[in-house]
Amino acid sequence: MMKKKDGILILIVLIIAAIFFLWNQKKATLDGDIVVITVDGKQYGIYNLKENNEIEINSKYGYNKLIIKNEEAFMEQADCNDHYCETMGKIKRNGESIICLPHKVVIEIEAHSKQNKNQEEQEKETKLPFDAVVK
Amino acid sequence: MRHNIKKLIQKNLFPLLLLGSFCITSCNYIPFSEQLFNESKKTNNFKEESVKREVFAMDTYMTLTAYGENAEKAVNLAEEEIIKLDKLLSTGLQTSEINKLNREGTSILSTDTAYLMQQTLKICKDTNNNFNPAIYPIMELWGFPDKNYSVPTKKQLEKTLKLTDISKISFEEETGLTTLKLDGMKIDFGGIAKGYASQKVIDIFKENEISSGIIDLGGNIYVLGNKTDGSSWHIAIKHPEKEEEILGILSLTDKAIITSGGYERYFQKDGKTYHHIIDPSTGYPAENGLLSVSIISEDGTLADAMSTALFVMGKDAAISYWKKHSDQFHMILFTEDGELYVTKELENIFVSDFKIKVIEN
Amino acid sequence: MSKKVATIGVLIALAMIFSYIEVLLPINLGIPGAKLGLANLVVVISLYLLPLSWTWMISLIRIFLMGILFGNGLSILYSISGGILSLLIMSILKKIKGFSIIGISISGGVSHNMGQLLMAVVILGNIKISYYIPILLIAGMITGILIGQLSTQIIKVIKKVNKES
Repeated sequence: MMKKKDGILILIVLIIAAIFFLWNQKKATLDGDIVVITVDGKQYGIYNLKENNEIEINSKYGYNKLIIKNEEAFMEQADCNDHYCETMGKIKRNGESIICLPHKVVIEIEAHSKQNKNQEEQEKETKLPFDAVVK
Repeated sequence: MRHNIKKLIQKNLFPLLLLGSFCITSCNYIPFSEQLFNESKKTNNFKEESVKREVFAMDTYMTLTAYGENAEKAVNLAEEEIIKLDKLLSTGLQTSEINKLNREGTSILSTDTAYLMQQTLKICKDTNNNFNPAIYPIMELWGFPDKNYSVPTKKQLEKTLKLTDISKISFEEETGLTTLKLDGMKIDFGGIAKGYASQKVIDIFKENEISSGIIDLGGNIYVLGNKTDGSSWHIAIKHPEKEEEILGILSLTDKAIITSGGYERYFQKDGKTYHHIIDPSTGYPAENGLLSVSIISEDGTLADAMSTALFVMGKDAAISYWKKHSDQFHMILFTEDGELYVTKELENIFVSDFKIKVIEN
Repeated sequence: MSKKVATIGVLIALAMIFSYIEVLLPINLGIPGAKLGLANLVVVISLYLLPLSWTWMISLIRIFLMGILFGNGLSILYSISGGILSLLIMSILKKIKGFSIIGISISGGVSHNMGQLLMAVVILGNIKISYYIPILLIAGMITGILIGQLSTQIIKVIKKVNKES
């Protein structure tokens, strides 16, 4: 019943999916350490993925509640009408995201400390594991 | 085949037109999305933009660091504010409000000074006179302000202690009218001024939409938000006796952290060490078994006053005071016996090589 | 003419019922955001049995009505971009010949998801949405296969009934 061209089509889709999958995997090998929340393209806030947190995102588009727990982030609640974002699961790897389209909310995981720091800075950081000293 | 395609296009004409019209309507979105893109670029720059400024005021070096678009403006305003406060509160400066009040015995205080007067009087009562804004005559007796140190006699102290009685200060909250009823009474906000300044600087940062910053007012730290990489600020607490060592590191967000200890300023006479934190009830340097007290709070003014008050109280009194006010601040106590006490909420954000004892409320 | 209107009307109603069933009982395919897209069943079948312009009307009117009834301005935009892209690709592949109903349905499912994603990129201006491309491709393919299978059977039955009558 399936024809030859069906097979070719399936193959093409699979190949494209695999390419993107591998590309994403390459980025996502790092566990993320920060959560970036964007509303309508504007940065709403940055949060530490390692610290448990409940973040309420209020904008003119609506309300979302993001939970950061056990180094994973997930959308617990949204007052939009599709509730897609609540089903998007938990994210924790670099590049992963949760998107709430009706509210234009994008939650993204980024890996900062491991990725964006060169060796020199890392050495400096091991020397001084703090930002200031209370005297 | 060609015929087929032509037919196909004919048949699809209506939907193609529709698609076209949608493209046009979504064109409204295209510049919009470019705008978004530009904004996100700016936010990337925003991560990088930082201003760090060193200021010398209130007899100490201060460092103000702000991240954000308005960092330059915010830091400028903060510097102005600190210098303004210094001019207002300095005991030594002839033109300061405090100097005028101490000289003339009566004065109408401006908003900032009146706020500090009200706060210090309240804290003095709350802490049962373990923090006293009128302690200055005793400090002078010891020679701390002009660094011309000497050990006063018991008689001198007893006489001078009468001048530190805050019930002899009349203060009208509405007008700021303040009268020191005894001759020789003197007010000093040194134990609270830096904490208050840190609070004001953070307010200025917030007003200018600075979301991340750290200010170090001579070892009194206030952190605003998180670091630009999203992680919390890591603040080390100095070991009171060993120059190169620390007691531990705290991970903090939006908090003031202020430490008091006898090690900050002291002098030695006849083999005995006298430090600058005077117990207002005896007039002598507080000796209650504590080497340092660190207070962590969102209220920088409170943190500054509490670090002094609890240092004077000593470990046991400090713990029972905290239990009654655990919603206002957290604390870390380091005793002469080398014991390190932290209050419950700090347990998970404080890393130390020392064995820590947790104070439950 | 009246037969045309009646047929289109019935099919729109059917497609809306399917959409509504999915609103009421979202079938969890294990992939976040993936829907079976039962309404596409109607579109695929009508693509094979009715003139192309009828199919367009069925698809677009359904999306508009569902959007007005259950969605908002934004969700109409997403559905419409998915709907238009998928029907466009399906009609082109159908003309090319050599694809079975399943193949056509797969192309529809995949392009439907891609159309929606494209609209999301336009609206959110966020390129990292590419993260969802593999998931949406595979999801589109799976739903495409399921819808294709169903369509094949239904079309067979309808043709048989038509022949008999």
